Amino acid sequence: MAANSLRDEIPPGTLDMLILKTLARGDEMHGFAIADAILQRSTKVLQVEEGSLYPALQRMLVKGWIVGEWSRTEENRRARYYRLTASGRKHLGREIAGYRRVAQAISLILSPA
Amino acid sequence: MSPGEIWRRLIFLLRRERFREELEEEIRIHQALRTEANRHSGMPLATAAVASRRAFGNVGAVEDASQDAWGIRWIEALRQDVRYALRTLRKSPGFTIIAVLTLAVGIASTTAMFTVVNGVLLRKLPVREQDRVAVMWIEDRSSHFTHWPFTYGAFTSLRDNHGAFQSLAGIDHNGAWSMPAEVGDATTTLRGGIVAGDFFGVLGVRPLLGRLLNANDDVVGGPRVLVISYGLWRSAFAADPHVLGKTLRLHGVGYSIVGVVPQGFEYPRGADVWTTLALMVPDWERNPTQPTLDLVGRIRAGATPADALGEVNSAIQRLVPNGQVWRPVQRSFTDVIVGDVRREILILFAAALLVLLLASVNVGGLLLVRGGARMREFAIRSALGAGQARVVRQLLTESLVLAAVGGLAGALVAAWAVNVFPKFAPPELPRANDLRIDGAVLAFAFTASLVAAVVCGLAPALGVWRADLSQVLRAGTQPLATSFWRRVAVVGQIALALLVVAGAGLLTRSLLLLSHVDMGFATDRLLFVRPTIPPTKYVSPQQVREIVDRLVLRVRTLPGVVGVTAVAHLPMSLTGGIDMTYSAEGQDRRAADANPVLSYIPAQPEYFTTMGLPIRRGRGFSQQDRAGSPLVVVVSDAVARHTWPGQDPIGKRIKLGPPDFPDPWHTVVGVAPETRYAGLLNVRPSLYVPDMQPPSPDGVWVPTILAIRSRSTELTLLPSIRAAIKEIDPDVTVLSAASMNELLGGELARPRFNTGLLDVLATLSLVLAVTGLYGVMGTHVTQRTREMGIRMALGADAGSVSRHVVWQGMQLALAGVAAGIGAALVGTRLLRSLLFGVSPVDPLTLALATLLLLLAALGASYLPARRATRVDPMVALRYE
Repeated sequence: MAANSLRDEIPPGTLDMLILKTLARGDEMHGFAIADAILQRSTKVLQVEEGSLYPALQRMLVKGWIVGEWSRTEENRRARYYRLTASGRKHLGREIAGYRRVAQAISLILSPA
Repeated sequence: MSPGEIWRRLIFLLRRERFREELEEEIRIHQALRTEANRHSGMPLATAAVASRRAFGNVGAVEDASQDAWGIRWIEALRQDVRYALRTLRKSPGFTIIAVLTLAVGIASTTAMFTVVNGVLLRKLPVREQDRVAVMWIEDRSSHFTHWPFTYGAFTSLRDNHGAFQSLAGIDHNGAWSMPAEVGDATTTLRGGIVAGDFFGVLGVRPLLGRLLNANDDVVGGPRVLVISYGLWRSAFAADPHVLGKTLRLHGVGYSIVGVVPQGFEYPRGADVWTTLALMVPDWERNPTQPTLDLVGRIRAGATPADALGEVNSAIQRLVPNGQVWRPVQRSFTDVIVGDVRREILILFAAALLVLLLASVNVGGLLLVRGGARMREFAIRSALGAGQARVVRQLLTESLVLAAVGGLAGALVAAWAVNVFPKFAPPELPRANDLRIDGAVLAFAFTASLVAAVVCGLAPALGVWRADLSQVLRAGTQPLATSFWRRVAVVGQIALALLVVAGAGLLTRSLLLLSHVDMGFATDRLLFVRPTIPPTKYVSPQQVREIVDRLVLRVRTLPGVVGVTAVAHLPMSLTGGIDMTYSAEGQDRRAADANPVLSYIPAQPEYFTTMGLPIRRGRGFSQQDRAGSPLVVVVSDAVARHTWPGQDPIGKRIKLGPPDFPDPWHTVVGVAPETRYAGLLNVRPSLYVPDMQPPSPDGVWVPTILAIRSRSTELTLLPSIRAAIKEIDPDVTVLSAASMNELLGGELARPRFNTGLLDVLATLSLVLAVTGLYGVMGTHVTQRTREMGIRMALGADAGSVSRHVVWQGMQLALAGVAAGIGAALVGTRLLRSLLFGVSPVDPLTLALATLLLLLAALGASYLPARRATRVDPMVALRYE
């Protein structure tokens, strides 16, 4: 539990982007795998409050950025697998571009002049 | 929101139970996987599970947030509200039944009327881009002739001109002709439209079966073809898909069926079949100077109807004889189809809307009273944490539920009405057989219910919104709103009811006047029989005249027959004769132009006695008034009065047409009264001419219809008349037979229908307004029980208490009636064109309507007043 305090909360509004990016890397993943992947990829710096993943996934299902399908895990457990759609991929591109612009601007402000 | 998104939300809505299960399963799996992962990293089982749950967060919140993502939480809340509303309403069935019935009456009458508005006025005709179609005819500048056709030459010239019209066709200006027809073995009468050029192509009508007529069918000597209406296809051919190629005989001539016209295309009105001018009347109708056709044109994109009108006008000046006296009349296609019934349908619809308003206000009043009684409940709910807004929402939901049930009942009644409607609808109502409940009607019923719910739910909701609920628990029940607004509402209701009742009264009075109007001739025991005269057997006018004479002589000998004469036109057919202008001896062009247009009526010697038309001065005709003898005429009163004011018309001379027209002089030998032979509303100055002295030698208007005056009931004679006709010539049959009273009934069908509907709506308005007053007075008495008790304890007798209550009710009624009279003075003007012999502000009708409302209001105030006098002072003082 002590490790938790070392992890940073995900900046607000970026969860969608992280999920989409995670899905963009591989093929289909279930919710747990997505949460774990975000954690692993960020070298365990970013902590998803795992439950908040699900409303985010539902929002993206509504928007049509991802689709979900029930199937079996390697351990033969039923799980819902999510996959990125074309419009999701497009949206991800936009999000990343936007994020880069903002990040660049912030770093410009923060950099010692 | 993209369509895909809406679709996904909808799917979700329908499967939200499954959604919840799936989400729960997903979360379980997630937690299980996390627990396993934790154990892999060395945690003991119990710690691993706890850590997993902690990492996940609040499951309930996650589930709610996930559902929120779909944006349908309000639906769940609504479901709860509705369930609660239903439970509450079930607890007071009396209130619920009355409220639902009241709303159902309102919604049903508006929806039923809207079905008519939609079906007749709004729904598109089966015509391509109907807004670009214009129908044209001509009228003369002095308005003697308001609907005169174009000549055939004007039609062809405009058609080939390719100016403002993209395409142009013609249609016989008489509308649909009645024609003797043989369908298979059956002999019947069909109504036929005669079209010229590419009529259906111009309108862009698509065939239901086969093909429609085009310009290639409008060729003299071409194969005889026709198309049939959807109605005829259903009734005479049982919707046979193999009807194409079958033969149908009109006037004894065979035509081959090439197509079926789609449902709802009724132009000319009432047409069963359509064929072309060239096939039907090849010779004289196609004479370039023969006035024959109304024009039907599709206006070119970029051109305006005004351009088209200008073009037509210049063609008239060039091509129509005497062009300068004519000007074109242009109507939109929709106007031609439904124009003359639009006003009455809209008036009836407006009356139905008023009924809905009255019904909603009544239910609103009921809800207010109920809301007042439920204040304690609201206060408790509010004290338990329901926000005031939540309570208001609950109230609105209740009125929505009431309106929804009422709306459902209303829609069912409307569906029934649509089936019954065509049976009562007058034949003049276009598209009446074509009414149906479609999306627009359902949307209307839905909107009407919604509006009703808001109207009736608003007042109680506002009352609760404003009320200080925390006071209620302390102070006990209090009335929801000041009764001031309820009083205003009742005054308004009575005013509106008076408006509708006065309107209905006016229509009823004019119907009564109309059905007892003096026709000018005797209408009792008069029968009209139209024989078929086979044109192949009786070719020349002379031959037709001879066979008709033989029929007349034979029928005259039948027992029970008092008189027989042959007439050229059926009464009530709007063409009592042929419209003609005339000039009197000594009149110049200008004086002649001011003469009225005459109905030219060819009459036999027995005409006047058989028709019961008295000769006021001079004489009627005799056998001596034949070809070759001096030309004589009988004129009607109006002609005599106009032409020779203050002089004896006998012996004066007139001619047909303008003064310079080469018609010989006719001497006036008699004067007859005006008649309404052409139509109830059509008093026409008439000119009677001996049928043996026709204006042209070919005698176009040989009278062929037998008018038979009988001793007793006219229709019982029919079998013997049929037999007698068959005896003269088996090839001659009876095409149609109708008594004068039947023809009058047909003429009265439309005013009767309008009046009947408005009377029903007026009755509903009256009942609703009076019920509203009764409700207000009832509440008034209940709230004043204590006051009444004190009054009676102090010695007031029952009479004075009851007079007091009645007077208060009547004050409202008087205020309402006063406002209503004002409204009626303005509103009934809309009815002007539907009235006959009575002014829109007829004082007698208005007085009767006012009296009716006041009497009803008296009853509605008296009942609560009687209750007030039964108050026991002791009980009343202990009350509360």
